[in-house]
Amino acid sequence: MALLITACSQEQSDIKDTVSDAMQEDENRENSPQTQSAPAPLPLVIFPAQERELASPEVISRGETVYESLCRACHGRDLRGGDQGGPNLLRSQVVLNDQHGELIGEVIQNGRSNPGMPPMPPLQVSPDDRVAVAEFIHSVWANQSGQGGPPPGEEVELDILVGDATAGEAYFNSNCTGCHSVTGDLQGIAGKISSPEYLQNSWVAGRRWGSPDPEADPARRQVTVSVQLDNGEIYAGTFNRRDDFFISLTTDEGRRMSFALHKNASPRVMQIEVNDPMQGHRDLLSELTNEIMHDVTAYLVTLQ
Amino acid sequence: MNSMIKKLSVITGLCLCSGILPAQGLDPAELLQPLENEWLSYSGDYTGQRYSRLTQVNKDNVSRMTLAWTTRVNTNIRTQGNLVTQQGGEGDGNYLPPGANLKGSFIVMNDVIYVTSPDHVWAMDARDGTELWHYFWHSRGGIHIGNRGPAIWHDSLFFETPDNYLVSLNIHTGKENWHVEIAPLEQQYFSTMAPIVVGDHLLVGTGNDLDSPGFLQSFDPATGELQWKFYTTPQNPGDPGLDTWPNLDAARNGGGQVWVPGVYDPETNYYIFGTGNPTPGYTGVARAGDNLFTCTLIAVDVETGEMVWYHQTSPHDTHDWDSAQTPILIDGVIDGEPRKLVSTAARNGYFFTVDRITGEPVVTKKYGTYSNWDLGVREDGSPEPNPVKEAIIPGSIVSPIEGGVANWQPPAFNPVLGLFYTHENNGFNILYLTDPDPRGSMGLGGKSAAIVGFEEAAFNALDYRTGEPVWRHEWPGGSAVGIGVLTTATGLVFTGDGSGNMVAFDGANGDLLWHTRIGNPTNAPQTYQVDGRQHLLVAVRDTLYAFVLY
Repeated sequence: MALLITACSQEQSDIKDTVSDAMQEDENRENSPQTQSAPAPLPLVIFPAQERELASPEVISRGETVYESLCRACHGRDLRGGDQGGPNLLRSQVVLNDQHGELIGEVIQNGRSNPGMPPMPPLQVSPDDRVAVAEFIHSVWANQSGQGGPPPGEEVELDILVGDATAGEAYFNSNCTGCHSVTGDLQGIAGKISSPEYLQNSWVAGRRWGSPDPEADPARRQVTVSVQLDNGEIYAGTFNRRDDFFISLTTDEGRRMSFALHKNASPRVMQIEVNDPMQGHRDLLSELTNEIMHDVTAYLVTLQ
Repeated sequence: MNSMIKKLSVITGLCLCSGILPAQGLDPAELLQPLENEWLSYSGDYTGQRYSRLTQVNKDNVSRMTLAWTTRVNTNIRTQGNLVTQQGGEGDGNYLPPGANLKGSFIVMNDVIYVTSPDHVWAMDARDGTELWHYFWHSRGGIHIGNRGPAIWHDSLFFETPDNYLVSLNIHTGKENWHVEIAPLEQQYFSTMAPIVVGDHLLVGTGNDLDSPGFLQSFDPATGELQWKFYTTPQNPGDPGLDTWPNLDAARNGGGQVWVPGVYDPETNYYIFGTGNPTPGYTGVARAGDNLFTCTLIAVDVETGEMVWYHQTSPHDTHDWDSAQTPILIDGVIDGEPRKLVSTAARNGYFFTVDRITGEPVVTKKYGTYSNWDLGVREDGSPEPNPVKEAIIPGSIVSPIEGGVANWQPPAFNPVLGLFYTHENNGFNILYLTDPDPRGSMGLGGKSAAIVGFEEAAFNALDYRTGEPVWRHEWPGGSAVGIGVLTTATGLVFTGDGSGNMVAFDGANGDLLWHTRIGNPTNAPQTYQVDGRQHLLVAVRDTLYAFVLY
């Protein structure tokens, strides 16, 4: 989560992207010139089914056994639908509206026929077992991830290394060696960032992924700025912020200074020089194809 | 209707007893008037232009605008004293709502400002922001992300709640008239939209992330009775658009939510609005096809709820880029011919101008300078998505990011200059597919997104006839700007710069004429006139600011 906060410096209130919305607003608060009220308490309840009291482990376990023998073939081991055409139960209106088996049990008992769907036959299940199946389904549902995502399934190994390391090396040598060296700053980088995904994010963004402390990031380079005034004075330091009306820097002595940018300002800013060592990475963004990106990553993982 | 009249007379009696003379309610015919002294609906008027006819503030004097008043909304539930919070709701009282965040339009009528935040409504004096009444809804839950504002019909105010109720209040007292459920919370719907009044129809949208179908509903504003319900994806065999889904189950779970208010054309009686993204959002594998009518500009007949035409602005979206942005009605000229048009700047970075009588596409033009997800424009005027820019296992570098080039925050249009004003955000992320299951994921699951940087954010004045910027202002500090826009008959444009400033542009050339660092506005600036004085009204989180010229 910290990664997103670092990346988004402004609120971009999404219509429904609640997680990043809240995080971006936290960031936004820092950026606001005013004192803001204390962070709002998070909602205790999101949706009723997430608050549902689950049945005992015994009941859930019995329900799972019944599900495995009677339901799994059509609805899948993970309830998200099966090869025989049974619908995803985790987004089923019957399941979502059911409390403790009154709706699910009825479908088990009487079957169901829906236009455009294969009909479900009635199943011979005792009333207690019908409730147990419902409670099992609810127990799976309770692990649902946010924003409509499914419960976490089985871990799948995903290999992101599909690129051509030789092509990646060639790209690196013609585009990156102005600032970077595989025997210098990037020596052993794949050992330092062992996840190929994080390594890819890090080299594209120009900052270390997964590092909780960005200040500890050895790759992080400060943006510096110098401001020349009409009285001849020049101030230089690390860049803080800039908008259309002000620019702010911190001098080497630690003094924060801000300068107005309007044309009647006195003293008046005549010239601003910004040195952003990360500009090369920003320029990359619009140039990179997936293929080049995968190739360079495949090369960088060889730098153990 | 008789009970309505009776109810009104009772309320009038109460108000007279307490010494307050109630002003008249809102005849829906007044909503047909162009935006001027008051702000009577979500966009101010039905066009969505957010173009105010007020002229007191102009390019010469805007730099002298100053703060008239500011007020922070009070979320406390008050049970005694001069102002007692009116309460309602279906919750058990255990729900702890988040603090106020003003992320919608205010209605300004008869010198009163009506303000909403999830579960809250306030009435305030438009002269000084003094609270007149407060209503609090005890919630059952739902996602409290924002409320886009109220609607008014005669003496009733309407708003939607995160737990999916449409609530009717008396505009003079804040007392509840009635509430009705508009979508099941159990199915994870949550509601944010500002209702739209058209005659004796109250148009209501809801939202959902859990693969549930989107719909627009019309209610009787007097009683809350359902008049019609329009599903945005096929729900039954034979429904139009079903051939753009692999099967009915996918279509029924295909999303297309109605998040944001649309616009209304009284000449045709069409309500024109944009729909949300298809679901599952990032894994399109089990919903091959264009997925109509998600990410689509749709015209429905307000009387019947039947779709008249559509134009899809993002076929088979796989990036959560809904097309729910408020469109704008434009009476324009194309190739020398007068045309009735509607334009929209979609979240996916494309600008569209469409014939609003027929739905025929006129302009499809990319305005997101760095958007890289498409293969160009089809003959039918819809962009063609590039499959390699979906989330893939080794990662795909995609612009824009999930928040889009634009989002819900409303754009504006100056009909004299012919300019469509919209922000342009250019973030990049690497999208990894984490759930390669051929059945697809659910909701917005199945991917991870790494935001790796931003190209410049900008503000655009687009020519509605071409989609080309006539001027474009690059924000020197902003990586993303999500703030709505207001324009006026004196050629001004008000918005925020994303660096904590509200700003005024010369709408003709993009010169900056005024700014005030109050924080990033959380809604779109609005304007109204009271006592002969033009006010500029904007909110930052839980605080309103009103600016005037003295």
